Amino acid sequence: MTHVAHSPSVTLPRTNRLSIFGWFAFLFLIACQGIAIAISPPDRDMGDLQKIMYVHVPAAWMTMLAPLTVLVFALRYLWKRREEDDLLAAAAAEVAVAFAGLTLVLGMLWARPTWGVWWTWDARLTSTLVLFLILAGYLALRALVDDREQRAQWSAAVGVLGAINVPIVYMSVRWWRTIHQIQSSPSTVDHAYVIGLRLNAFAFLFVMIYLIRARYEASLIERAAEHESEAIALGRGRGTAHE
Amino acid sequence: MSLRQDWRRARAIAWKDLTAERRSKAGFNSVVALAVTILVMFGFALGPDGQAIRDAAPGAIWLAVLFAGVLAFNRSYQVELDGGALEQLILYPGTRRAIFAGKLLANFAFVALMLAIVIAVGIVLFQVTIPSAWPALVGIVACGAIGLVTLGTFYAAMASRSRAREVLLPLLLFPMLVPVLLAAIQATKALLGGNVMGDAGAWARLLVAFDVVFLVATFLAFEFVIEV
Amino acid sequence: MNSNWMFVGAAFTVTWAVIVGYLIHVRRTLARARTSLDLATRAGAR
Repeated sequence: MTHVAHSPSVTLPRTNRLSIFGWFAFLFLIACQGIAIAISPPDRDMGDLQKIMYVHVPAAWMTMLAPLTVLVFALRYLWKRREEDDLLAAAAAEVAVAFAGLTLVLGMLWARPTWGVWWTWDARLTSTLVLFLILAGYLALRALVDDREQRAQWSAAVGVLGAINVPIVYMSVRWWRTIHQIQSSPSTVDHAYVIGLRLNAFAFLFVMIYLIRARYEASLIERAAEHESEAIALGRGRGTAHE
Repeated sequence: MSLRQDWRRARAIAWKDLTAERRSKAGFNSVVALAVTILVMFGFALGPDGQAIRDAAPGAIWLAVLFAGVLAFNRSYQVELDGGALEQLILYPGTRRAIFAGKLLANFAFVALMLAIVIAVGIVLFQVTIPSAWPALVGIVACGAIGLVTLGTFYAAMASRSRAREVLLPLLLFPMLVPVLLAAIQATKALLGGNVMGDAGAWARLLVAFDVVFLVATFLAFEFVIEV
Repeated sequence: MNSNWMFVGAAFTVTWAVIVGYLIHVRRTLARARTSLDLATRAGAR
């Protein structure tokens, strides 16, 4: 007798399509990085250090995009109370933490040869650091709250507030310090580098989407497993009645 | 629900919190003692050189109040948690915002008093000269306290009901407080230094703007936090 | 100027390390979830 899964509306994901997209994203990233490195001439001032821009800037952009994703899904959860939205927000937050950490390390690898120090308390680096901490707090909250509804609702509230605080933090830190060079935005970037930058930005975007999606689907399976265990713990009449 | 009813409810909750606090004198006194102790520790860490310590005064004072304050914020929900009264409180007819407002008022009174004491000690220990513009300083301190108490009371509503509340509250609260802290500390620093650069006004305006934003945001979000 | 290549190399290495590392984390989470789903399902079907 086959049992009936008690998990509500959680369909087991079709990993094949996702894997294909994942392979595409990674290969595309490799290609973009190769192209960018090959076609870009050394910068006047920075020399070959300029190449870091092709990973640092896209990583920074993703670090801004990911919290936005968390915000959107957190708001949707508060509006519709669908568990999928909470899981998506959480997946986005996890990926955001990874990208924020990456941006920080890359920023340091750029800062050291440029300014001689590993860390400058400039507006962008510092704001990224604070964002990293905000996201870490979000994940800590999820880890420390066991009640599913509490966790989802509190995460949503914390996620929304955290996300709207990001521009506020940036503004206040900028008032506080201003050293960071403005060359990272395409408008002030030399023409020769714009194409490579845009290509890599898209590549990073695809990779990020893939990672969030993959993490989300892992969460779905985790939920399904939880549902099964709960159903068993609560005693499913059918199984025992067969004895 | 009428605004007047809400206000009465908020006052009732604030009064209840404060009287519970007054009866347990150990609460306020020990938290203030902790704040002062932290201030002294900062003195050891940053002193004894006169100029360094005078520069560090605003930061040290605000941080001391912040670190001790997190204990107060968590404890402001302790009374209800112990007696299981939180569920009951929510059941009473009337908005949950009144609960938030009440706790805000009580916590603000607590932190304001703590700030007064810590600042007094700080002025002595850190060789601070009181500027002629000290009324403006009081205003800035008040605004900083509002920001601190708003976010602290909000996040404590969750942290106090989770595991590892002593860790979770700072972890959630501190990054969120960066704008308020920066503005408060910089404004304080500017005023204490005689406002040579004239940026005290700009920081003060930023601080007020932050307070407004966070007050509105937390009032809107508190509903979701307390009902579950 | 040559030493700059070290930093560039380190940057790209770290980038891939983080991306691949996170991917491994996700796959491990997925595998663990699948195993527990399997166990739970089998336990229920008994």
